[in-house]
Amino acid sequence: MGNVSQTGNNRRVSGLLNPSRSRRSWVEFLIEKALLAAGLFAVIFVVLIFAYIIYEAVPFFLQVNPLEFFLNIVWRPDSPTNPQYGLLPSLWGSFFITVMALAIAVPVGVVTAMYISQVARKLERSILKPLIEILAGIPSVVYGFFALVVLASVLSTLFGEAVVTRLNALNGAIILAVMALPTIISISEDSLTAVPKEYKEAALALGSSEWETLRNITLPAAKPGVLTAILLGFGRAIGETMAVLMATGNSPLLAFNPLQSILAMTALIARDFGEVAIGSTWYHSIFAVALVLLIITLLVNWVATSVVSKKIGWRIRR
Amino acid sequence: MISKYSKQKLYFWVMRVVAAIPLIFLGWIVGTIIFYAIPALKPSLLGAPTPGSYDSYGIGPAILGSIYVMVFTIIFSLPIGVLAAIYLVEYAKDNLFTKIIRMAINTLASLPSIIYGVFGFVFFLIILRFPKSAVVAALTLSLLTLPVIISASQEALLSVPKSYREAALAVGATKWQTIRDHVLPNAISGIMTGGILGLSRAGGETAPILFVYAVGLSGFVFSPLAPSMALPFTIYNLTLQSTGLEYTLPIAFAACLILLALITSLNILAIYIRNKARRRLEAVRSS
Amino acid sequence: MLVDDDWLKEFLIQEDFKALPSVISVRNLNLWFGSTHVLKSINLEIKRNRITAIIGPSGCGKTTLIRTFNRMCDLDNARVEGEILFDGYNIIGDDVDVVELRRRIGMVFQKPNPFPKSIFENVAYGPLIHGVRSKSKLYRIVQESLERAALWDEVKDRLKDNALSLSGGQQQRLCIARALAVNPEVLLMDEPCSALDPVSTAKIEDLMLDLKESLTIVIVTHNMQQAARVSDYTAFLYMGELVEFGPTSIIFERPREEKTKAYITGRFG
Repeated sequence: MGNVSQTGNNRRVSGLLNPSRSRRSWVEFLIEKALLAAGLFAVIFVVLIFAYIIYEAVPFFLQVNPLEFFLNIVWRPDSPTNPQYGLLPSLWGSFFITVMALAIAVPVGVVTAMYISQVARKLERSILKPLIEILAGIPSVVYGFFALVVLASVLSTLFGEAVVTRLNALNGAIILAVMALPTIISISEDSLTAVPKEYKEAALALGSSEWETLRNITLPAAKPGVLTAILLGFGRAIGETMAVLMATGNSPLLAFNPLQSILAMTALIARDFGEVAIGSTWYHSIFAVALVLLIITLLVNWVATSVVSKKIGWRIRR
Repeated sequence: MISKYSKQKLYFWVMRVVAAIPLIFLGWIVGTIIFYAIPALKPSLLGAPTPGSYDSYGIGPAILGSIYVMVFTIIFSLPIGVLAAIYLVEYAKDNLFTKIIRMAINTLASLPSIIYGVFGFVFFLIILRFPKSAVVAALTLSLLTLPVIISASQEALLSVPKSYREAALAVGATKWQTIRDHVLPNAISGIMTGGILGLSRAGGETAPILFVYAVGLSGFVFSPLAPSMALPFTIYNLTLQSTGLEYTLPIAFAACLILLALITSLNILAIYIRNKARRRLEAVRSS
Repeated sequence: MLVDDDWLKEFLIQEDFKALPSVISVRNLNLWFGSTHVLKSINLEIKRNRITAIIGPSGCGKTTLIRTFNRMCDLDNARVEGEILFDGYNIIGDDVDVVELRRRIGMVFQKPNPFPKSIFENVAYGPLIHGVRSKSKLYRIVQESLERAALWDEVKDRLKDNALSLSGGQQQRLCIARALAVNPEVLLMDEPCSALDPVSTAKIEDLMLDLKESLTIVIVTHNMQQAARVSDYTAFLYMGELVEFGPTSIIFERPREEKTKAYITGRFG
């Protein structure tokens, strides 16, 4: 072995077999288990969240007929004589503003993503992308504050007499749209950028203009990703609390006029949970609403990620 | 042919205008807040609030409270998040068990923030009988920041070239030695990005701490085991809950500006570190 | 002439082969990636203080084969059956201490992969994790390893420099030094020169001939001239099967198999 000093030669006595006996492999084993425990943390808390929300919602369904909960159009849990626990106003409120928000955010978001990934020059891109990340980082309470103080006044001036309440569904929808934009833009942009260059080059070589290539080749190829972006934007908007709470006026009415106040599920929970007596029917009813919200977000997210995994499969095959 | 390309030019201009909409909103929101907040900025703002009078109303306790919450959140969630990311990237086998862990992390990332508020109240205050405090706020917010930290750390660990791992293993390093000596040091800036993003997320959230920490009015609270004010909650409290908007609004604007400056500078720092790390890695890859 | 000259040469080589002790014996080795059968019933003897070259067209499984020798194949989620005997133990199986195995069987990779640390830290890493704590002893090991890798004279004044500041050829010799620092008995080289220029390649080939005095080398190469220049024995692998294995001179001058002949004369691959 030449003149090289025999490092670690004493280990050779231990041989090559039975690593389970050595201290080293015990340390490795313990480290792996510790890391696994950290990974399990998320699982434990997801289970706890579900368990406790369900646990606190069950008494409500024992006290109030579930049919009444799902079909009643009145939410008046604080009435001393005739409390009513109808889910419909807040469920409708959430969907109404979320759908309006997406109607604004999806076209703007997808077109912006198309512009950033396919048209923009490098300089424009390097300005746009970080600014959109900053938009994503603004706290929701700041958005809510802006909607309450500035946007609502602008809408009142704009629509004049037509405005039923100063804080209304449209106000909430616009601010939600702005908040959902970064999600929609960044995920759409990722999937547009992931479209193989060869597709575009083939189309360009056949004499399509860049615009035709973008519309006929790139956008259809990126469709699953864009769909995911829209679904995740939906999930973000329906789960948003502070901005909705501050922007929409929170009247539990089944309103179909966008210029009238509504109460969203998240706002209902945030507003009522602070003033309710623990253990009352009203207290449990809030958990019933939370459970519905939980199930909706979970479904949306599940559908969105199953579309994502399809998209990723497509990327790997490429 | 000419018409085809002039049409394209028109479309591209329309797209450019649409792409400007997010920026217009960003400018509008930030601009308005700066414009109205500047006149309200005075030294007394950093003091304690004065009940009944808004002339020298301070939000100092709210700033302190937010910093407390952010620091404790990161103390709780950064170690667990990084360890979980190491497990998922380096150890986890491709089986149902791993799938469940990933699903749970995705779920945590997508739940509405108010759900955490309700859960935090029930679990930490009612079941575990913890006091309403910065520590409980941080525990609740940790559930939100955990997925942020895990996904940033995972990206960072995955970006360390496989060849480093092989080189260390080939000289007889154990798996953990390889991770400790070669993977983590090269992933550190990505992990820091995750930590900073988690920090800014924790500082900006309101809904999760509505019921477990924040109060409308308090003096400086130095104990992490007592309730106090927090910046985002104070903004909410001074607007929607306010009875005299004409007095509270300037203070709310100032609070908005302070919060925005804090969160945005953290985010810019995170973006900067991440982009620098990505560039460095591309340089290593191409060499 | 009673005895044909070539025959005598071949006879002597065969006797030599029989007399030499095997360091690694591969017996009926099979390997799968998922459902793909990548290595099929391989039998091979690696002789002490000799250089064994594994050649074959790309995708034939030669890199996969060499990565089973130090269980690097574990990283690739491969399923392995059969025996690889090293030091009397079958190193295929869960009861093997792969860490100790990899210390005793070193490896150099296709692309130079120094750690993004100083030259000194690169070489010292192996001894350090195997318990060498004294500074002076570490320094001695680093110096000796760099000398054995013929790199000492070029780097002795810049041991604190980042290893990535070295040229490609120097980086690869640094990786060899890093492997030598834990004093392995076998050195596996996976196409070590494929990313290097001819001058650097020549240096590494010289180095291999020096190193075989003190250890056993297995080299995977797609460069047949290289195999012919440096190796004592050559194995020709084709589509996961070991087509022919024998003394290099015989494989290159009078191969028995038609496929081997076709490959070394450049008709395919």
